[in-house]
Amino acid sequence: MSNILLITPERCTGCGSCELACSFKHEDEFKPTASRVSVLRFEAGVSVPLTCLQCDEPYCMAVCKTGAIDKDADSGLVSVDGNKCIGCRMCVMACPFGNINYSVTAKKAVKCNYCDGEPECALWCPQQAIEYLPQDTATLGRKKAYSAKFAQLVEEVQS
Amino acid sequence: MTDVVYLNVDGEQVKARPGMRLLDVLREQGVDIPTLCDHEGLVPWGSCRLCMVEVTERGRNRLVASCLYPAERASDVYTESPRVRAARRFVLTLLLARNADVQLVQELAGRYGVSRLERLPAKQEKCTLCLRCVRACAVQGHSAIGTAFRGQEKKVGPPFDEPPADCVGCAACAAVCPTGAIEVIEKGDTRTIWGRTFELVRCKKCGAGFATCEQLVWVRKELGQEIEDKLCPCCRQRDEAQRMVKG
Repeated sequence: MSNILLITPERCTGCGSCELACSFKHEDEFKPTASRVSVLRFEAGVSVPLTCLQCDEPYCMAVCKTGAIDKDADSGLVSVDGNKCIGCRMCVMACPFGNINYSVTAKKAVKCNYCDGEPECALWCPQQAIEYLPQDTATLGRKKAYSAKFAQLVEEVQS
Repeated sequence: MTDVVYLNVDGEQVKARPGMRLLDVLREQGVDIPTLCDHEGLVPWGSCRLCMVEVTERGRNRLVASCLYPAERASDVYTESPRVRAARRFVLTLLLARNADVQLVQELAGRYGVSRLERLPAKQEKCTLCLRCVRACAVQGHSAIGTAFRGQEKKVGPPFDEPPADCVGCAACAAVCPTGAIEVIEKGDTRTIWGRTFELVRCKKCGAGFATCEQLVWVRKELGQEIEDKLCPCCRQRDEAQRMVKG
């Protein structure tokens, strides 16, 4: 993978531009609920934009029986092929982070695929809370710091 | 075996990979082939007979279902010849009799100039017997539904019309149905499908019913490990976000 999507929650103001940009790109409408990226808003003005982490070993892909979910070997991006999806929602149940959704209108799973390498959310974020950066030691280090917290979550579930 | 096959599609030369389905070759060329039963995620079945095309290969001419026919050797393919159109009209005449109210069938009938035949009794069935639902259920290994009876009585459903024991309530059958023939009722904390009512598992945080217990059991078995089964996907995401800011 050449670039990675990096999130810095401290910079997020909760404006929701990413959600609008995402839903407009993928669904042709400004509709945060149809967005692949979600802004989680907490008290005291704390907000976190979240989207798929493009796991190394995606659970969503492991449970997909029609081969609709695929991880690109070069880019590392995990994508859903809507034509192959049968809408069983097992991927949605399998994702430990809730980062893959089921579209009730399309009756298919939908998820973030970094807009195939040009993520709109990063482009429109006015605060650089979402950045699309080259995968170097600095960015990977920052990403790993967050990953450690997720690893803890997965361990809690499995124990 | 060569790595490319040359086809002549309606007078135009087209390259195809050997073994590729004729339907996919034609779609790549932008030819609009009608079909009800084909679904890219499911095994091809050839049950609707709408994707028929005429193929001349090694001097032999015949009608084939393009969803099942592999491109293997040089051949001439006709996608809208009089014979093809007649075959599709025949199928649509029967579909229009059985599925008189189905919009998709009406649209296709319109496209091929087919109108109702008075001598065929009109039925208001929604199911076209394309069997997408049966294949969607089977691909996951449940095989909770199948067909019963033959000929005019043929229908899709669970064995003996009883609430299916092997169903997990995922409703993929309803999602892939091209005509909306399968009813899923979500009411309060229950989901009813094929006459079986599932209690939905409630999210520990928000209380929303987000899955059937059987779905979670299936995912756990497929992954071979424990999964997050207390929280709904929305609350999982909120939990994930909270961890990011709390540290």
